[in-house]
Amino acid sequence: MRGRLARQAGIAATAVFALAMISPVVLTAAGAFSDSEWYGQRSEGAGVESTGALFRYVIEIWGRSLLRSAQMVGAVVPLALILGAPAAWAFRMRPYPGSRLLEAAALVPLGVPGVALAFSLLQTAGGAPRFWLLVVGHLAYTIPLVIKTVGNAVDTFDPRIEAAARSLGAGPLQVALRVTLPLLVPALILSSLLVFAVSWGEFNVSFLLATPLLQTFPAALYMTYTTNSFPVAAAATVIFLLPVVPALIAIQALGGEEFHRGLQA
Amino acid sequence: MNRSALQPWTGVLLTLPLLLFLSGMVLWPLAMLAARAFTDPGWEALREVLAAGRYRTALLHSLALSAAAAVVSVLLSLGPAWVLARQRFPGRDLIRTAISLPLTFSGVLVGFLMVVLLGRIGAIPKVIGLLTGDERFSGAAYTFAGLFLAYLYFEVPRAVMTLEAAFRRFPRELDAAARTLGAGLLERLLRVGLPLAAPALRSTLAVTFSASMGSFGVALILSKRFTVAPLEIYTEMTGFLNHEVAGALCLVLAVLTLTADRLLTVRVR
Amino acid sequence: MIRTLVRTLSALAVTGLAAAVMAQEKVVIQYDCIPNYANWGGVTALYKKVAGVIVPPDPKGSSVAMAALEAEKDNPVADCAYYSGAIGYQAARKGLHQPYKPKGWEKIPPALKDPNGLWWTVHTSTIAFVVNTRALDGAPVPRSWADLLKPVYKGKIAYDDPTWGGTSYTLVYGLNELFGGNEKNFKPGLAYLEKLDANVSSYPRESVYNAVLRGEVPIWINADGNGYKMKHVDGGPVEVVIPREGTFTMPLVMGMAKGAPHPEETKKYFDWLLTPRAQAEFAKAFFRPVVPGATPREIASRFLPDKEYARARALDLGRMATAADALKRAWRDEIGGSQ
Repeated sequence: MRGRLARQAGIAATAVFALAMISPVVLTAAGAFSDSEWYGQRSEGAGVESTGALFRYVIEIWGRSLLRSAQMVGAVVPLALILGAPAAWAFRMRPYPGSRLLEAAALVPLGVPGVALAFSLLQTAGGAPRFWLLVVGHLAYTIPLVIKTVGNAVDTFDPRIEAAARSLGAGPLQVALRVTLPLLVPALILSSLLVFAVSWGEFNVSFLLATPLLQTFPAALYMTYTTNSFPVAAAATVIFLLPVVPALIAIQALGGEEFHRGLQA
Repeated sequence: MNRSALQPWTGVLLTLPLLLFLSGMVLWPLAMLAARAFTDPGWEALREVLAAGRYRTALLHSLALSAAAAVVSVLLSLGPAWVLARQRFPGRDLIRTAISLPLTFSGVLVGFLMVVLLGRIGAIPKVIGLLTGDERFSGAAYTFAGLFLAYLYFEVPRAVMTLEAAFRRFPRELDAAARTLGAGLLERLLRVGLPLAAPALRSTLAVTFSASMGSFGVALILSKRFTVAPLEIYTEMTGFLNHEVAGALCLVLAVLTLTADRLLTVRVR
Repeated sequence: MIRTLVRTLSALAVTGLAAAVMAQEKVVIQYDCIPNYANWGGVTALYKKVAGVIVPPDPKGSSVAMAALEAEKDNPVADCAYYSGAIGYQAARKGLHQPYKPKGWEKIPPALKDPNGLWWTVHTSTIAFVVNTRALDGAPVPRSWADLLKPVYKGKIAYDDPTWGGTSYTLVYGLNELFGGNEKNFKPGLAYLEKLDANVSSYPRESVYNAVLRGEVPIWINADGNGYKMKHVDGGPVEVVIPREGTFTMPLVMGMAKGAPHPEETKKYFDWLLTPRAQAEFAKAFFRPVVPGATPREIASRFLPDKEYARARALDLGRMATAADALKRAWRDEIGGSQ
């Protein structure tokens, strides 16, 4: 009996905790849709009165940042997968002398503040096209995610499956495409969602490497927070959250049972 | 441990793109950063940064704030992470989504949320004012406590997710076995739980500490009188064009963060 | 498998579309182009309608813009920059600009432009107290620099960090001159600012326009135009005060970057900024157009009477530029930022 009460209390406390975490977001989002001026009036002049006008204002001024962020994600997700997934497989299944070091090196960016990495990139490669420098910055922080996620999945592989396929006469490429890849699909999807979520919200590197033509949406968010009224900032925040919330729900769905069933095997 | 019948060069081939990317685009620029800081005029700047003064203060502030935020966020996350990992209940996925949502937020967004809650006319002072007639905590967002809270908001999702993943792997049998052997709750916690959890706790501390050290957006929005290293780097870079000092600050910040990260995640065999 | 494929394809499609769309556009890159400041949002939207050219927003303050131009000397990114007068003068002196005299050059008074065309004033403002009367909590509206030192205003005052923004640098330099200092002697100004520091709540790095409007910051020492806009456009409980001892006018200038990537478009943009329509658009934010007679009457009538503005003096831009680095550092070391 006591155990059950403790269990329910724990769940309730966690639910309250989650509510506390999400409340500022809900509050801010509500600010975009409410007419009241509980957090300050608009200051962008006439024509930014209604809720629809708010969102239109944000899109008109910062629409290209939105496109830029989409462009970034479109480049970063495939590249992170290409650079990270095969390597993650090799680290677990076909290591070689020095591969441990390489794997550790791949995780180094996690310990390097974004400001420092952005600064070193500017100093060393300042003349390179900014877009690709930005991509590099995003990749540095998302590749570790791919390596860890795919690596965890590969850890659950039974090496006998691939051996069996080979003993049936399949060449290495066939094994890779028809046995390994399908097994890795959940991890690949989970990785792309994680990379998407991180890249979409990345600010530190993006802000320092930005140019007016190459502003990502978080940098635009910064401008609305510092120079626009609260309703406009709230509207911009809602737009930011729109792609990310479904991605997170999908991550939870994928990172859930199917994944951990494999881990507990 | 090799688990494949393929030749070693397959492994090399598969990791080659990553190797090229890392060495050329990450390790080389960082090495250059270090090299520049150790040769004049960078060396002068490095010594200036490490001597007593606003730069060292900023670095110490970053260290203290990040360490404190890491420890507190891990402590706060133990409960929710355990519940999410070990219990099954309706709405668990929803709760997990809610807690992990801030993972995607940049620092500026977190700073803004803090202002919404605790600014001069934030929601919390307003509600308290409605209930008690006196608006307490107005402007708290801009104090050190507000900055710390923002760092916690930034860190807790990371901590919960990392800890939960680790707690999931805890074998239930060990706990059950200890209970049948007669161990009480405290004993089970200290002699079974803690040793099992130690690596997970350390790696969670490492993740949250690193994220805090690098946090730039939060300080940009919230810090009024309390400077942290990323802010100084930004000011030197963009306001004063003092690339030597900015570089030295970057190097010291990176070294501090990496060292703590490595120390915390060293594998104990 | 299918889901991954679909997701990848749509991401690539969006990427391609975005790149295609953005490659077609005509642009002019202006550093320091904040939509909600001096109505740059309205001005650039109008230019897009009139000429089909995009001038994207940019958050840099004057000093940051100048530093960016200098950092990018070998690979120019910006076409032009907008600064407060002293910083623009400094940037020109550093060789960061190329000369261009836009159409309508003769309309600009000689003191407000560089004889060689390296910089020119697009509109002006005056440093004033922007006061949210409702947020004063019963304290009287301050009328002089001396008033600001009174303990009743503790925690109620803010001015932007002068190492980041040009308006505040003008303020700091001007106060120094007002109290007897000059470009070599910063003591009088810094002494006053140290005393004022007791009443200052913060030195924001970015504009606190909205914070003042909502009452978070009761007294903001900044451009008068911002105060008038708050009062007349946004309907806030705001009063603009010209301090009794005097204050300073501030020209806001444009400069064309050396090595600008889109020189022809930039020149056309500069030409357009001096047209009556563009100038009147700036006036909507209550920044005074440099072209005489461009201010619509209903806006002109809302400024404080001219006799108040008689106390506003112009500052020598050359001397301000000379003192800039030293004065900013002195402020930062003695007053600014960290504990």
